[in-house]
Amino acid sequence: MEIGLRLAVSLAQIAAVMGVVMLTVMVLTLAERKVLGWMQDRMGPMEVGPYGVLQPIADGLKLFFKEDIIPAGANKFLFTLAPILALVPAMIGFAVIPFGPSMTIELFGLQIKPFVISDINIGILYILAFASIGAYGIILGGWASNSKYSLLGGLRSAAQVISYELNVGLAIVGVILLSGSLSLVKITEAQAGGFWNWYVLAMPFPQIFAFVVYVISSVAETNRVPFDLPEAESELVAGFFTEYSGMRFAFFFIAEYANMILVSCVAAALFLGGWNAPYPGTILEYIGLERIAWMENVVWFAVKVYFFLFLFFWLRATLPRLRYDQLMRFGWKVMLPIALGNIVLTSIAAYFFPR
Amino acid sequence: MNVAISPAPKQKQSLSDWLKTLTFYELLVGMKATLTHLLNYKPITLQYPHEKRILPDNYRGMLALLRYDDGTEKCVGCDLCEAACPSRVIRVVSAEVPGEPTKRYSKEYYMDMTRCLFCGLCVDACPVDALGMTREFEWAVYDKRQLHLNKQQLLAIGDRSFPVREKPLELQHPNVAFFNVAFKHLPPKEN
Repeated sequence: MEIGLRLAVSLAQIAAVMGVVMLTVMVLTLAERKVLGWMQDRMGPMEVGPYGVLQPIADGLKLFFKEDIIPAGANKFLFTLAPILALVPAMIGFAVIPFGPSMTIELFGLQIKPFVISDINIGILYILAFASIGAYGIILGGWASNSKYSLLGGLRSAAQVISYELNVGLAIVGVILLSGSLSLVKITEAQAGGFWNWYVLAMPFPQIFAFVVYVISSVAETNRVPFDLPEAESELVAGFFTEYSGMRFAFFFIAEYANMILVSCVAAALFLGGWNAPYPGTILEYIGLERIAWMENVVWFAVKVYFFLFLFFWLRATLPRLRYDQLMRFGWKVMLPIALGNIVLTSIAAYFFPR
Repeated sequence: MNVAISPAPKQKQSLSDWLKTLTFYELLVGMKATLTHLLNYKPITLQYPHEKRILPDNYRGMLALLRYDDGTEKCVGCDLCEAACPSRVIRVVSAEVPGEPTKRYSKEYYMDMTRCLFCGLCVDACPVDALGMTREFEWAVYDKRQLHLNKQQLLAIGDRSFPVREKPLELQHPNVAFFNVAFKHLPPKEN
């Protein structure tokens, strides 16, 4: 009985988070085109609905009813598997992201945490592990398509995702050293009480370098401009999903945007204090509305995540694509030493000035 | 491409160059530019099917055959347009006007607009200004054969695009009317 209830509550939480993520993906597909258009003195989509706001729905319908083509000579099993392998890890990472304050409420005699699906104590490791599995989707999709463009895109993606995941992992280590925990809930809680406690600025050693390395590497890891070599339009048609159409293409597309949201959530939670406001406590608490103070926290989290998502669009509108050797040199010769040096300095600082 | 063999000459980097590299100065300049465009949002887009450009008078659009203000066709069937056309769009079948042996006209007149490159040479070549270029450009069709126009269609385009017509040649100026004119409808000269 209790297990059944717990399952139902968990499923409801998962459905809610998935719904919010899918809604954000829909908003992002439109927002990206709009913001890019505005930055380039264009209008973006304007036809479907007032100012083109219904464009994501039209896109979704079109992709849903489009013919699903499997090219001749493709490995059918892997070709079918690849989009799922790309989408599932992108979605599954949201299980450990705390969207709001870590309070417990009692429902049907159960203690449940409403703002995190599961607070496991290796949260960040779990996200990194599943992000690595996401690379398989891209590589297998590129290989199984039986197309030279897809294969080249997949190969590039394999090298790029692996070398930049390393930097992401190493950049996070500094934060983990300071917080002493791998759980995103605990890391976020440790940053409470004003923006000077956020790990990007916190004493004894501000993680500003790790933050920059993380942001750049996460852009590379999600295959976004200026590191979009796996899907470079001008060179490889569309990279690893050249041969995909219909819903399978949509899966890759959703996976890319879900990955963007995921890395933005992780960046917000690790470096910018997650759901903590930049001042101690919350305003709603001060004016005597403790019961809805969580709203302010959730809004702050959303603001931080959307700032990163806007940064993704902003970079895309500004920067040209790197050459492949530049990408590799930047990853291994610049980002990696900075991340390693940050770990050394952070551990020294954390040893001499324990918090 | 012997990059690996000869090492690049070492450039002296000043402190400010280092600082610029470290702080992503060049990237920030570029990002400021894009943000400025976002904040001062002035799109140059024209929402085409909903709003249309005002085209200039010398716009070289769809070709048309013209008429005089009394409704007679201007074309005298001289074939000069056919000779001038670089893409062999035009085919003219010239004939005498029935009952007026001094006067000629184009019995048939075909234009294959699939080949036309809108250079305007036929319009320049016409001695009687019988051809005109309209400002029509929305001529996308599902069947290519619909772009194979005959004389009636070309005249219709001219009628709807040039509502103001010229007077017949012989009435414009006495010296202009030196050929292809039958004087039956004019009063005889007094000498």
